Amino acid sequence: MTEPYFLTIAQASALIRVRKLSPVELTEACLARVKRLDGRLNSHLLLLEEQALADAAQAEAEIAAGDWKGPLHGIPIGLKDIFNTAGIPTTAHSALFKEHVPAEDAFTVSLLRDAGAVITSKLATWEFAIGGSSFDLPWPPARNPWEVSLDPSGSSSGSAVAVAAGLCLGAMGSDTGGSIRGPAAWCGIAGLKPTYGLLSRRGILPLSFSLDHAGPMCWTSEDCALMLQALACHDPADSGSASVPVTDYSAGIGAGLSGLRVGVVRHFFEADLLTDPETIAALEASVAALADMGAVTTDVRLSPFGTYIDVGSLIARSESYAIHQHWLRTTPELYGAFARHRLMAGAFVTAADYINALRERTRLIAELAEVMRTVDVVIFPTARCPARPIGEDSMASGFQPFFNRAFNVTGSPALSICNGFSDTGLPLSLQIGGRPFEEALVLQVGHALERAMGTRARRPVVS
Amino acid sequence: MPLSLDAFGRMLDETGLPLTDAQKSVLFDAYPMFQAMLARATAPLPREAEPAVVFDPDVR
Repeated sequence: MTEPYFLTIAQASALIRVRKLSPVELTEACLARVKRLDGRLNSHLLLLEEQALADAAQAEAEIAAGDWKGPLHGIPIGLKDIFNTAGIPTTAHSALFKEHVPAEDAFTVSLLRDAGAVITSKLATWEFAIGGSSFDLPWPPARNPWEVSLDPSGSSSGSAVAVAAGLCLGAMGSDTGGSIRGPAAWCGIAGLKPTYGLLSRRGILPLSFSLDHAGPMCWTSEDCALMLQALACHDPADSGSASVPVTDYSAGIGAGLSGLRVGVVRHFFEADLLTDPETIAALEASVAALADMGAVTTDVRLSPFGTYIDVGSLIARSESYAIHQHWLRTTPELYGAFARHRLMAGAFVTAADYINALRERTRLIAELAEVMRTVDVVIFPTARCPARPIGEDSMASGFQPFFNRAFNVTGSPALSICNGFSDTGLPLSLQIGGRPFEEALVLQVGHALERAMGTRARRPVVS
Repeated sequence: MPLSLDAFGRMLDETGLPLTDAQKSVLFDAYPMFQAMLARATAPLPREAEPAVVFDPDVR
């Protein structure tokens, strides 16, 4: 039998529901694995052992009494440490917030608790979700479980590492410029950035008001659908929250793809940004697998990827500077160098530059909408290359490892999945983008491709 | 057009950010990349082109 910590949420939930798996034993297995491995992975800032075991025991009692709350009941879940937790430090991995203890849970965290999830941990992040894999913070940066000398990417680094290594079964991440999908790609898991506004941002430390998205990070697309079901909920206290009907996000899991129209944004990886041949080969194999499943693939064109980088960066820099300006002026020494430099760059963006970036964003949204009239989903790689050595990141390098900005700028849903492995055994990745609020279709395609590419049986061996 | 270190320093002073010389140097090295990004992302649009976020009294 699969070790409990390597079960998917769907598998564990099915066993828990019929009382063949104890939430307490499952939680204990994950906690033990954290203690055994996280000294090398650095994915955890805080392990909530006592509370997690109490919550698991409560879940077990509730289920035994016939009160099963749903697929997350009794499932160990970790939180990126920018999600507020009542009475528990929420540090943003920063000296500036080292003593920050919120009074309330983030809305999404309260929804997870309502669904019976067992919150096990506060997980590593790039500082304030922007800094980079930094060595000048109160905690070390998380490391890639496939090879600990490599970067897991970020900013939801701890979330991706913990899920891939079997330290929890699912995790929450946030995505302003790719911070769910990037680490999902380099750590070989599934990560969903939902449509802007589908998940509440209330109680999540903000980075960029109009680009911030919360989302699930899991081993499979199916698990992302299960988490999304518990998380998608209108929040009247979040001014960006969408009031839309909640659908069954698992409805398409296991369904066929016959007749599905798939657009391949080929110029992103063939012309706009130089992309690793193994990544392109895995994408072509995925295109072939989609055709075998009856999908109709065609090439589509959007604006050059660089346009999304520029527009997204200017908006993000402006909005994040507005948030951090006071602290940058008064206590700059409490930031790590990466975060400080990246945030300070926002000081150079004028109001006119910001507004013009927002105007260009309108054009990009309209352009994508027009393309999405001709296809049901679009695909392209998530990462241009497999994971790179940790510590390579620098302010001036300008290297963009990911094709992520586009769907932050447009606000539409995008899922990263693992669609293969490099010759050196590192995960390769594919991104599936959809129309606003069509997460169910995006997850359906992700699940079908994970099955077709056969990538979900292989876990990292932490050395 | 490339900025001199002195001109960049004056621009930084206007931001009110208390930077060391080393921090100024890092930002100065990265500034040309940022300038290029600004130039690319703010290409002329029709006068009536609206930003993505506009005031909508029905939203709240």
